[in-house]
Amino acid sequence: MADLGRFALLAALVLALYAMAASILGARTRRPELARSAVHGLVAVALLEAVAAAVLWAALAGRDYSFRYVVSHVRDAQPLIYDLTSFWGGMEGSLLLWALILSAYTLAALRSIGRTRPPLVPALTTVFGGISAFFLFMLAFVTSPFATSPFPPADGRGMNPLLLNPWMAIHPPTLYLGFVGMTVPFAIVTASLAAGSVDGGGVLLARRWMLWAWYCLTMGLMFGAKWSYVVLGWGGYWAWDPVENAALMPWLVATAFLHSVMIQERRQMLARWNVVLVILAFGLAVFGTFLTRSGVLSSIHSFTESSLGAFFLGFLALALVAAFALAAWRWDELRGRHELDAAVSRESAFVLNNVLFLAVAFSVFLGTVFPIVSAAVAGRAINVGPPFFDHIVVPFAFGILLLMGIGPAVAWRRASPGGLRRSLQAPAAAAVVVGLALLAAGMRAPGPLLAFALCAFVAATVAMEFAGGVRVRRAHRGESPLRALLALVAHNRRRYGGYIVHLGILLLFCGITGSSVFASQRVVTLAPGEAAAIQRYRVRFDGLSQSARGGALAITAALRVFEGARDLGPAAARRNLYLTGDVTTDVALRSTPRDDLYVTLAGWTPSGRATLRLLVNPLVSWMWAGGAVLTLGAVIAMIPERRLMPRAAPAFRGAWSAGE
Amino acid sequence: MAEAGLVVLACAAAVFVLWPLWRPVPAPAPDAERQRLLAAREAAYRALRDLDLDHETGKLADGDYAALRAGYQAEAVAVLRRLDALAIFERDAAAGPEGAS
Repeated sequence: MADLGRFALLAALVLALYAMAASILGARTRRPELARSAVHGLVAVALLEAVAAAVLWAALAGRDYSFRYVVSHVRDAQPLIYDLTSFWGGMEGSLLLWALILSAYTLAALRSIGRTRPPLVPALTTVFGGISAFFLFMLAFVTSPFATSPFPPADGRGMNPLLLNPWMAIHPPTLYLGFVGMTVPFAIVTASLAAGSVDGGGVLLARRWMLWAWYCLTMGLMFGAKWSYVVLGWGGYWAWDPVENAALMPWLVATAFLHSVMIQERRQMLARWNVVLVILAFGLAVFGTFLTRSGVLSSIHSFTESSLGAFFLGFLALALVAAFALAAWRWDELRGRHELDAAVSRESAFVLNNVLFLAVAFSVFLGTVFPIVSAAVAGRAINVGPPFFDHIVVPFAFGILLLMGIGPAVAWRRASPGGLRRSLQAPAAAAVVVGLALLAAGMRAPGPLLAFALCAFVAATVAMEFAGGVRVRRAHRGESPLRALLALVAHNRRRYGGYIVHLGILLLFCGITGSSVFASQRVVTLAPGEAAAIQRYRVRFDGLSQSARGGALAITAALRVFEGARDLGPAAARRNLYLTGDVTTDVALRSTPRDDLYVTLAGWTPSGRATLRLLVNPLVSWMWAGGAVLTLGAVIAMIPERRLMPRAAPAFRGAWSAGE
Repeated sequence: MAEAGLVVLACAAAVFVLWPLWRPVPAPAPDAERQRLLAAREAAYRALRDLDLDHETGKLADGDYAALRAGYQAEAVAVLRRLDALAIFERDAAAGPEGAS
């Protein structure tokens, strides 16, 4: 079995290298059959990787302890589902998942682009072949998932108990779909530059792939936050951990790209800038993988100290140098066809938005690599910690939020002062009303007041955009309001899908603000029958019990929760003690739209008293709701629109039809 | 037995990958100019549609709207003419010297 896996990876590496060489040679000698053979090479790579993945999954499911990877991640008492998800629980398996996802994307991209832009295929094959070859080299020679032991143990060590959770089962694959997804826009852009097909550097072709990768990265980040919240037991969901930052940085750059690419689509401007953003997003995705795999920074996510970092840095440097060299080569051809017409226009708002997103990404990058830089320069790794990130990022976030409100209200090319005033009056009034209402309700902290007022401003702008569009449709077509709304979204999916994504981001922002500023906490030690109050809740401790659960000794605190006089029912906070020394926490969590009651068992005494940590985290459920709204908007935005045909003035009707 | 399986797998992969070398396929026509023009046409259409919506929802003054629309229309017409010219050129090239005459 292991031989088959090793052989499949080695053969895939040889074929990936062949695909690179054959596609280059085919393009240079104008022999399309060579380029076609190269594409077949990448199809075979995908099939061989699937064989390797099947071998690993079979070994995991069959608990074949002759595989070292299986010994490290499986044990007899572990549920089968986690045996299977341990495929991406370790370094070797997750690299194989990277390669597998990359091949799936490769085949999808080659099929899609092969239909619409066949001349791009050879260069695209070269880029995909090169990236696949790197990962296959790592898997075949540096960190093989098929290493075996001559004397297999009777049982394995199993996965880290913290990873035995449904959210952790889906978080890594979703994140990898995003990380690896950044490869497709990168490949399209670099292939376009190399092939001389520089209609905007292939950027427009790359947009939809980037949107998909961005969405997957967003959901990967959210699943990770949910896991952190329900599993780690510290009451939070984001800790500015280096590996969290590693996923956030490409997300920020991709978000900037998704806005600036709209300017390129309409005005054929900013092609150079967009090319740079696509390259940076890919570079940061690889850098994120480097951070996770190298162990260069301490993180709860880092798998191990290993020698992989040097390989990743070398690959990253090579990819960036090659991509930027191609961009420099085609720099003159990427020149924009227009300039900004006016200082106040949607284009200007998007440019400013890009500056802010890049500023946040740079700040996060700086804070993340500071320990490495300080260790290299001063000989001591200095961690900057969450306060650094909060102080730097929060002001930028307010700026981005403000632009989210102003952007849609501003016309493309040139906003009229009267129109701008009309568009912003109602949102500004909504912001003032919400601000005053919160002041009247007793909120005094200026930061949250500003945040919620800005959220009201943005929500009102989005509502006005929908209302304005519906009004125009009804005026022209006499449709009912509901029909006009549905038709508006259906016929302008990207625009209105984008607005729905903005609403999801608003919910996320409200959730982050509420839970990070207004959370309250108590640590209490109670005897059975005693109760403690926190905000509107009262938690009664009814006693301790112990049991065996999934190979661990579970200590459970039985609780009963009350809101005023109302009995909300029983709850249980638990700590699981493993023989390996690992300890995990099961949180007693009661979630409502208003707040979450979050109780953990911090300790206990032989006399049966329990130390409980009680938290009330306001608006956390708004964050998860934001993820659902964001998904709806992203799905709408990703459905392809019909080819555009504007309403033409009669004098131009012949001209419009001529090109179709 | 296992080695025989690996040899079969290797042979199958080799045949699959090398098969196209024995089946010549026509080279795809270079289409950079056409793609550039199509992107320009989409850009002009999208800009016109946004312009109309911005005007109808009151974000754009009448004077600015008229001037900008005229500019985009002229741009779109120029792109469409170049696309037409390219289509005629490609048709003539495909038909060869006799077809062109």
